[in-house]
Amino acid sequence: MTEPTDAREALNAIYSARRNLPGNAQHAGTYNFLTAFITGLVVAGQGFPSPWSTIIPFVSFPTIIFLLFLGLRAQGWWISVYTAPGVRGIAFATLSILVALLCISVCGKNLGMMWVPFATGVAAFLIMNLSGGMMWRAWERELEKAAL
Amino acid sequence: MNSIPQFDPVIHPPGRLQICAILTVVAEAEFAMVRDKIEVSDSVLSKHVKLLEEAGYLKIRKVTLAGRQRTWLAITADGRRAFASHVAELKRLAGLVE
Repeated sequence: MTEPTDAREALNAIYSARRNLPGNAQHAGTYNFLTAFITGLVVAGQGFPSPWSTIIPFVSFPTIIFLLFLGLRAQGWWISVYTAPGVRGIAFATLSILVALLCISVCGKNLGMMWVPFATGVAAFLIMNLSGGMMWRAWERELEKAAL
Repeated sequence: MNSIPQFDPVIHPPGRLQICAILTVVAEAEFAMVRDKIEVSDSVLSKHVKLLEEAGYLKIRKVTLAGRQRTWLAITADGRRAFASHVAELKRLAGLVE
């Protein structure tokens, strides 16, 4: 069994291991910006005439996967938006809004309102940027709590 | 979630404690990143990882890409529970000297 003073040292060791973890993600903002841009393009693209509505997602999804892969390699860790506390709600809310915006883009195209896809694309870009920042801050708060 | 305080000799050594501390706040972490964060050599980290894996507290995933192998570490549900109980015990003990 450990002594009380050892317990304090052990708790400090836990704290110091977690404290600098976000430091690995210096380029998280850039990745978030690029992913938001591509998401905006996908949302807007669904309101564009053929073949753009097909070409854009076909090119965008592999690009997003590639960006995630680059980010993962640079950081050396990842968090699950499903299991991380505080992050899941933001992720699901973002997804719901993006799906709604995508539907509005398609409706805009069907109604002949060509400005609608551009507006929804910009909205999707802004929402993705905002939610990315919110998820990051939520995780940092959890990290601080977890660090005792 | 409140855990029942329970000392775990497998987790307690500083290196293993720090590995668990990192892995409980991420979904997966790369071997090299963990090594750099806790400032140990590859061989020392390998030993810690092996012991944690044998205790069922850690999962290892090896990925080979472009001819280079990378090792990813993740904590198991048992490891997460054991770590939470161990931290609860450490907090209880630390409270004794306040």
